[in-house]
Amino acid sequence: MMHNPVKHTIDGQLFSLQVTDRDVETIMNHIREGKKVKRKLSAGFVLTMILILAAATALAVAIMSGKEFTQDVLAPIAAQDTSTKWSQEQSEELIRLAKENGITITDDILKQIDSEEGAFKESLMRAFAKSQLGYYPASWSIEDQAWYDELLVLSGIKEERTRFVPSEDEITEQEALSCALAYISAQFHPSYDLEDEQNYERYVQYMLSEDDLGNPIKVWDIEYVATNEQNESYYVIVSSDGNVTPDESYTSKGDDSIATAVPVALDQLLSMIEENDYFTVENMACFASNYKTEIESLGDNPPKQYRILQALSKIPYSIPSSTDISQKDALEIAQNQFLDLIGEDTSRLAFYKHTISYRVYDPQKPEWRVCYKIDLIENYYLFRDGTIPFGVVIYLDASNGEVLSIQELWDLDLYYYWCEFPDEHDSEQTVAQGIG
Amino acid sequence: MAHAAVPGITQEQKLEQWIRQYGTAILRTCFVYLSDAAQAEDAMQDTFLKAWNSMEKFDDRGDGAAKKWLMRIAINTCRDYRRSRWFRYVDRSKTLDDLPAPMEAMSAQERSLLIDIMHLPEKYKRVLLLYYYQEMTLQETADVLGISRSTVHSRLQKAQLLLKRILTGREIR
Repeated sequence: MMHNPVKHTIDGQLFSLQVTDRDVETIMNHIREGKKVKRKLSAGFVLTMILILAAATALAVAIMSGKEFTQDVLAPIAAQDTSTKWSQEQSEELIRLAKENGITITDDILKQIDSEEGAFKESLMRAFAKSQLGYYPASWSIEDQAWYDELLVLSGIKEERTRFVPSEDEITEQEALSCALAYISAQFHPSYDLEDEQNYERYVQYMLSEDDLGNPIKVWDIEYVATNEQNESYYVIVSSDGNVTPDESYTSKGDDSIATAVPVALDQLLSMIEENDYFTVENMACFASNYKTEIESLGDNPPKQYRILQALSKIPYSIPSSTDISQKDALEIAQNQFLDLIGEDTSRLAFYKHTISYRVYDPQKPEWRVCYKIDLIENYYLFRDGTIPFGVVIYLDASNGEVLSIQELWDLDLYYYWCEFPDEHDSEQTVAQGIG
Repeated sequence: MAHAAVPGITQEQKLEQWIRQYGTAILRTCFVYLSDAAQAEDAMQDTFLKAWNSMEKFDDRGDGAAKKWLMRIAINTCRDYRRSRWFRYVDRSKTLDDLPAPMEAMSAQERSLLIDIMHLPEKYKRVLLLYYYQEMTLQETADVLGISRSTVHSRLQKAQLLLKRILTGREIR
């Protein structure tokens, strides 16, 4: 790897943070003595925890529902420490308290408690709540989902709230369901009544998501799952103001081959990038033909993570013929053009990665395309003052090496659209879809 | 450097070797994650104590397995720290003046990069630390965090984008 400014900065700036011989000795002494390292807990924190535990124990003597037990007993005890799992002593105490309060100990709870690895706090809390509320989250009301979410945050198990009850200025559950049903009826004309419990199970959640720009938004996540294989299933997302979008990542039961093939294609693409430091001419030609059918089946509006695959599948990658100039010659011509642009300082080449591909849009005029891409994170400081472009793309006539066009990329967003994956800029649709 | 199992050494010696080999990098990772030197030290020590308690179950196949395992423990330990109630009530926003003094003269840009990274949302900070600071591959980063490689890739892209926005003064979320 070239100069890595992240590593350089952290190691340089945090040089004084080092594990010394004394630190090693301290840890090893703790291990030999079987002691835990002393944690820096404030006296106030300890006192608060003692009070919480006392309150929890007092509450536990009353008869409780599974939900109350989760909230009033499990959550306060879970908040006592930062571990993700219950200790053996805590598990035994919880079972004792549960029995004392007439809580049903389900097989799920017993299995978790008996697990050799120990029970996860969240999982066991959910199991106790499920003993009253049923399967999570399908059978839980929106209010119960939000209650549980808040409880996890208060217990320190989860960092941020992600499930909510809609506020007054947001549409209600019934309104969201009406929007979803109207949309599905108009777009897909389902053969059966989606509200018929014989044919469909309905799952509803109101949760935090992200819009296309990564901004947090609340959405209704509504799914109608067919109970028999003949029916289609539907999955839509309704925004908090009532706009409906289908979630294209949802695949109905008949499309298993596509559901499997497309993630495999994405995985293969990432492998190629990792193993070959971006694409090689040969593997892109192979990739494009291997997955074309599956990727085309995603339709015009694929889920975000697959858009790059769709864009790449539309580019006519191929392998050069014997009458074309070689890859080596194409690179040499492109490099000279590139150096002309950035000032003929060959040391600057080190700041760029280059990729090369061979494409046949017109059988009479195949092209070499060479993309010089600044290695963003590793050359973090250079592009800040605009001394060198983020990327340069050079097109050559593959038959004779003539330079067809040169594009310099200076804009950050264009850089992302055009250079992160080196070949998608050919497709106007790709850019319009906002890949990157 | 990959940690290879050395035949004939005791578990204690192996742990001590790991502390010397990976301790400093783990300590610094914890600092960037927790923004607190004392907490980072605790988290580093906890990491090795947890490793010690589970060493019998750990299958050290060499090839970086120990580093991945220790990093997973360290990241989970830091997550635990951040989940704790009192952690959330402490102001952890840092400025350049709060950082330890660097060993050598560093440019303001280099110093601000560290602050920028520390201010990244947690999920992006995790992948950045493992991929760039610990110099793990996409697959190793995915293994440590228990997420898919494509998720690691997209988070790295987003992390880079956020850092760019910080650099160019654009609004970040």
